[in-house]
Amino acid sequence: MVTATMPIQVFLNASLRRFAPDYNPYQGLALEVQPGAPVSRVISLLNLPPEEVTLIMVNGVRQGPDFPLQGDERLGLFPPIGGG
Amino acid sequence: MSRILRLNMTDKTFAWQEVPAGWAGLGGRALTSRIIREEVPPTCHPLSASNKLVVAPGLLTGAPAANVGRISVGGKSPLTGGIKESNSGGLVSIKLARLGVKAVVVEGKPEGEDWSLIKISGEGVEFLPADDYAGLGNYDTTERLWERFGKGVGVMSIGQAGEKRLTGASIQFADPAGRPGRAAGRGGLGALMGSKRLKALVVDDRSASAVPLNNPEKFKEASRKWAKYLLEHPVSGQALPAFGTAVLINIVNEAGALPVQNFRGGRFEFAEDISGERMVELIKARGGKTKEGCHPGCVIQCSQTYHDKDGKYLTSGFEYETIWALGANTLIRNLDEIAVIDRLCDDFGLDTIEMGCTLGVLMEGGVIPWGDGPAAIEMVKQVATDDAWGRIIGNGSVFTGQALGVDRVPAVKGQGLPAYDPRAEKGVGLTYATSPMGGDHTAGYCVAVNIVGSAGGGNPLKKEGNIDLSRNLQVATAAIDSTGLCLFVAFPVLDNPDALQCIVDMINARYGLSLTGDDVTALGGKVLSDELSFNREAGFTKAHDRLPDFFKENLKPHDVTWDFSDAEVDQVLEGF
Repeated sequence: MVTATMPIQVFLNASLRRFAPDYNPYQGLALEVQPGAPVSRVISLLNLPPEEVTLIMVNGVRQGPDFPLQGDERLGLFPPIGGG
Repeated sequence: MSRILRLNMTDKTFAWQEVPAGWAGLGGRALTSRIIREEVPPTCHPLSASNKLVVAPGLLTGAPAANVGRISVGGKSPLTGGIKESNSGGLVSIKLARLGVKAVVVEGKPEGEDWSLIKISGEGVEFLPADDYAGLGNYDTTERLWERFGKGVGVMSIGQAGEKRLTGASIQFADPAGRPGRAAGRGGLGALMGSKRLKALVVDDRSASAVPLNNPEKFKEASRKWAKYLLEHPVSGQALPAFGTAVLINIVNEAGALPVQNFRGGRFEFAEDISGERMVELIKARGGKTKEGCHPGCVIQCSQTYHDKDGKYLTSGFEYETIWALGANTLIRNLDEIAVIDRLCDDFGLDTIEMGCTLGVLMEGGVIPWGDGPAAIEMVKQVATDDAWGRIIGNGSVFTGQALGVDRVPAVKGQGLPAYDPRAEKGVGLTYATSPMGGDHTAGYCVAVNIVGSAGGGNPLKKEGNIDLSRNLQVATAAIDSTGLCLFVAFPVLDNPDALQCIVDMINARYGLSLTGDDVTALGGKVLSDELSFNREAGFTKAHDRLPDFFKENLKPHDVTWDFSDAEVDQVLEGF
């Protein structure tokens, strides 16, 4: 059985951009995922080292790598970050 | 033995004082706030002879350890009317500590109009005439003082804004490269220094010896571990040196807490244009420097040298708060225009957060268009002249709001708010409301936990947990600010339980004490008690611990409002 995929928009930040050479930060990346796919699935689809992705924002809310995506989300991925 | 240096500006004399027993275990903010609490009448006019400007290195400053060179500058704030401690990098702190100066207390006020320059060195203290420097910006002042007294001397100075005693005025500190890019920015302390007719303080430690360590072996052991903790932590060891503090633009934007257009929205369409990533790209392409320290001994290196499009030096210490205030808050999206304003602020001696909030209010009032960088630059340039607009905006956001009849002014206790919308980062909102400093983020930086996820993380959008978080961080920060440590050590300290013990071990080995972690926390509580009791006697009540009404409006993208009750806000610092 084929499940329909859903689009998500992914934004890479800081040092994570080195894994996507032609990354356009204004557009982000458009991906298709199966409904219910965890964020970790996106991380591996993008060939990002999971240990470097320590901050995951789904629609502006911090979530863990197991958080299930439903489609149409805005996903922000970050390495460790701080300042102030 | 360390001593207190008193500089009497009324008759241009100085005196050395042995450290009173009650001040012995204090440094940095704990000491500036204690001296102000004991010696400054809370109801005095901040620009009067009764107010004092107190400068103090931290408890660990001068000792051979990483990131201990910050300085505390205190007084009754000309901006807020309450007590103020403003914290900066630069060279002065370490040099004072090496000269055995535990604090400098600038008191009194001269009758005449002449300006002074004071030089502190191993040979003594000199009051020198400074009328030749009057009217100069901090860049020219620092350059001339390095020419005259030698490259590498510590300089703290005021620019035109401080000379005019404008309440948005900062005190600037020369960085290790001799640029006045470091600031005790908040609270208008530049106006306090200007009221004393003190243009600059120069500190030369060339004849000084190392600070004494009670137990050098133990100190060395602890300080080695300390540097390792800082370098091993991914924030202090990697993120901050790679992208500077502006690395926060994208995450705070993603979290929907980046205030846009005078706190109207939580996400900026053009955040990428002003991001740390973009800044680093420009710095690299133009031959600037992506990382440098604000003081000797810094291993984090979150500062930078930013060049203009022709590859010529433009500014340094180009911080997240500055870039937000002058950028997203005003809709100016051109990083070079923001950098020009930052440079002008450092040169004239103006707090960049206050100026960003002020420009937002100017735009709100229709004086200049939203997003118009060149118009904003021209307005800021007026501060160095006698133009009335310069006088208005140099006095900050609340004053400008009054001048224009604008009611949307993002300030608490008269001080413009920093770079996090309190509706979408409720923890730091409580800090804005309750800190004795007025609208300030560093005083209890809940962002580190709620947005960046340190210490297991918290929820910036819900009320739960944030009262305790703001309270605990305000106590811990007051302690950290007393040590001379850079506040960014909070990232490893929040995540690594051994790091706090390491700080305690260094203090104990430096002074021959046997403090515990609890003693350090208790110190933080005492600092807050000094500050809050000063403010109460200055006339502050619970009614001053409130955010502006417009934060009850809905904020996108999270559809949140400021929903703490007054009673909940009052719990934050209850008992201090």
